[in-house]
Amino acid sequence: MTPVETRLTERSRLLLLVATALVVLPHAWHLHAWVSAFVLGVGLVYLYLLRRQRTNVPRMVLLALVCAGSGAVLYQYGTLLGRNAGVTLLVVMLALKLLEVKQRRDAVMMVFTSYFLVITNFLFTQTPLIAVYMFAITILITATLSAITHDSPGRPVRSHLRLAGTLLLQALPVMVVLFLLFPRIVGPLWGLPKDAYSGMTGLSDTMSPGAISQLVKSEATAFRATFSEAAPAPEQRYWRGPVLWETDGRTWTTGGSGLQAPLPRDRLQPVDDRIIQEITLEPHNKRWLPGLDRPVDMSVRATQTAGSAWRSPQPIRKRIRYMVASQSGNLTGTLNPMLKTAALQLPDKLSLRLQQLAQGWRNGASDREVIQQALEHFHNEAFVYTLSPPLLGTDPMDEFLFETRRGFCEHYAAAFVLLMRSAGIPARVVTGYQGGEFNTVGEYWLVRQSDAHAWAETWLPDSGWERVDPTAAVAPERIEHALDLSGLDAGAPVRYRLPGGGWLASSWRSLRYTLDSLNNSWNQWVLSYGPRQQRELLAVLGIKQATWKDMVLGLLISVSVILTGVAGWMFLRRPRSADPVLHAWNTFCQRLGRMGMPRKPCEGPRDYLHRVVAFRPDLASQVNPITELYITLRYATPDDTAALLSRLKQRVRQFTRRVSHSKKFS
Amino acid sequence: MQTLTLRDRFRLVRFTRGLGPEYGPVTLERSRIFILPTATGLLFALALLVMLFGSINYSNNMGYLFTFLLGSMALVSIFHTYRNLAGLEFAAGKAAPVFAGERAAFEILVSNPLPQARYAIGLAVPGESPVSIDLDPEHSTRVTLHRPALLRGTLPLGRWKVASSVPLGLFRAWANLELHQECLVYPRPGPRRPVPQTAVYKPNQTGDKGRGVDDFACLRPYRPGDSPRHLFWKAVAREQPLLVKQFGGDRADELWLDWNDLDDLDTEARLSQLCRWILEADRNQLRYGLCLPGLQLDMAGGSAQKHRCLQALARHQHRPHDTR
Repeated sequence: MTPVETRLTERSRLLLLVATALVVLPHAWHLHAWVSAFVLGVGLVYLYLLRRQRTNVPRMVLLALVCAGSGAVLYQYGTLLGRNAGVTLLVVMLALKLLEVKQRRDAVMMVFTSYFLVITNFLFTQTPLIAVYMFAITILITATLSAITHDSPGRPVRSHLRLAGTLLLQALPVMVVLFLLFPRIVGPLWGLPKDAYSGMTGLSDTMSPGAISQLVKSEATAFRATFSEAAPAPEQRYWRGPVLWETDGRTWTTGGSGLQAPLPRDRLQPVDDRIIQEITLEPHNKRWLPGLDRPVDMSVRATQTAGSAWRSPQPIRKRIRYMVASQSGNLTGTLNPMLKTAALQLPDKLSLRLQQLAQGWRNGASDREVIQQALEHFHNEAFVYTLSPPLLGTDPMDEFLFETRRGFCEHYAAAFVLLMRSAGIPARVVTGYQGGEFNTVGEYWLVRQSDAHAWAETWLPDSGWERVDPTAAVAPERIEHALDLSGLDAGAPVRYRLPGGGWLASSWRSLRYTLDSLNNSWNQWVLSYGPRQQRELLAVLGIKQATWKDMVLGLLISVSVILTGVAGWMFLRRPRSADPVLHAWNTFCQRLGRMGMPRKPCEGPRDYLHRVVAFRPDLASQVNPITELYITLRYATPDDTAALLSRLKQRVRQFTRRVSHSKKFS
Repeated sequence: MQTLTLRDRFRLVRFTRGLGPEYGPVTLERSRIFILPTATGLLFALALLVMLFGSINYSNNMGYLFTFLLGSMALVSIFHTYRNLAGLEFAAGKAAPVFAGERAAFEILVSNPLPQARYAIGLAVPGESPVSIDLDPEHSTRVTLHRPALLRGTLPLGRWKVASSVPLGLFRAWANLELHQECLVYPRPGPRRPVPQTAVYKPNQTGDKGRGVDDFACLRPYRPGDSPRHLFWKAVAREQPLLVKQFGGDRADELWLDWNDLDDLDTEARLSQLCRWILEADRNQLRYGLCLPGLQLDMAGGSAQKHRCLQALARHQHRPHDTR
């Protein structure tokens, strides 16, 4: 018996420390290193104080630390608001609060802050792995809250953890219902901080030497694709992104607005065998919607540019899923004059060597022969395909073609297009992705940023726009295999990721496939759930036009039903006594109680027996042995406890059954 | 155990004050337990609201999931808070008499008949600091609740509260309880004042001087009821039958404590004065009798006489306290 305690036990302080550390840990990946160092330092100081049984830090020291922490955040980000700065500030303050915790109230504030840090982590990553980790962390934080609320030396830490686990598991059904039925609102309620979408990678609207070779160093997923029928051959797996028309000799851009307009678009011969694919695109904060070359139709609202690329009206800031219809085959005829001008544009300054090289191939040859000669030039001369080409100077294409001769796909594509235009052949640069890895578990194609690629297209009057990949002339393997990004040396030729290898490699691969497949399902079923999916779900449930009111009402009803279920599960299960003897005896006494002879609290078993028998002599033959068995089991130490116990249980069972049976007839 | 009518169930007074004293052990069942969020719980709700707005703003589905997980957890914790109280049994224990001005101690027998542990059950009398207990499965314990005894008479424990906010402190479940349980409050002892010397001489069989405590008279066989202080321990050590030392007193060892001797005081002051005299007389191991209007307690001595007299003072023309 103690007065109500508001101070914290050492155990709950320790739990608080562990929870804080584990909740900050995943933030270490996307926050600056000094934040982690700061938190680690504060944690160690706290641990030291805890060991010394000292828990208070002088006020001035604390104030100085708070000022230093917020000053550092301000210095780093220039603001205290926004996603990164806000989260950093929260982490710093959580760590400092650790030093200030005296009472239960402080600890509760820390627990709530920890919950906040869990949710802010989802602004950075939302993988299933992090979800599992965060669920575990939430159990720990909740156990800490339980320990703060009540802790006594007799209560094991395990019991707090078990309680938190039970609470959260029981919360899951209601959570699912809320997630599915809570009315979803489109779009942000107010402006998001500027850095809300930072850290998204993807193809850019411009291309200069080195741009794509930078992008391919990222292993991040660009998109996942499923084909409704058989997948096209590797040499056909070109995924079309932005098409670049205009160049100043170094940088390529998408060109003027006329080229972004839907017209005049490439008209393609209608063919029957369109390739239908479904693409789940990761957000990249640009407007491009890639599709298998050439995409002719999209299931989402988008416009097709003159270069047959597809643009969404808004930047892609959420993962989206869409269907694409693609087909090969080109339309011949005359090229639109505006496109022809754009496709023959040359930079103001073009080296003589380059022009002479292209015109040398022309020399009366046909367009097709010129293209062939250019490809042979790349193949026969000492060109090297490398991820880390040397830097190029003021006239990059000239330098590349005649001096360094080391480049990545963007060098080859750009140089090839320039040569073609110099020779009078309309040409353009196409960026996108090439290849992809088939996930045998989820049966989809995974395309990473490392599959980013650039190639060329030339216009031939008899065959229209035709894909020409100069990279294939230099390094044909690139088209067959993905790049191996490990161990890159400056200027070294590219290496490829080849299938095969020992069982270790293959099991590693299948593990990778399983994880990514899990990721994909998670993306499709959990992360992409939004207003549209909610409408579809309601339609499946038979609710066609749900008003806001209907949804709230439905939500309340379903939550109540599920909570009732949880309560029923908790309370309707007959509580089993830890002591089987007592349990049997209690059952027996309850039965008698319902017959109007409740046992008085002061009454021992034998007194009770006498009273019952005096009242109902007809029950004596049943009540007598039960009471005797109980007394023996309770107060004597018999050798054959198990046998006696089973006999007691059996008798009680018989008694309750017989009495309720006879009651029916009376 | 009483069952409530539907009308009673919705009476607001149950919520704040309870329904008045009851007999016998009280089991906390559904209709007795109330539950509301605590200040911490409201803060938690506010935090959840912020999280929800954040999730909507960023259209972050994991944010939604987490917010809903915490919200559901809070809802489910209601059941756990309720379960921590439900099924507990409370019975009135004893309450030793005290003097006015002291703190009355009431014993409550709390038992947990169910196979689940209970944590941080707080029992509180209004205005007093609560007492917190943990109870193992199928165990019971005694809790002492205190209440200041300001006036002489009988002091009921009155309404008290049993409450718990385990497991998370977000909700607090409580029940208002009032058992028929009283503590006798003796008058506050008055100032020291000489005992009126209305000594009565009574010839006694054991001697001229009667029985007393002052002078040793003789040894006599032990009779049940003799004070162990007067046992002749040396005889016990020699394994002889129990002997008691008989003391003789003087003539003034018997006295009447009379209400009418205190004309100059009002009722309560008279009772206080009589109380003081009883205590003095008892300490001096005198024999005494008590005269109150309409009541006379015969000459006797010892602890039983003291309590009998003090009880008479406590109950003198006493109307029971208001229980609230």
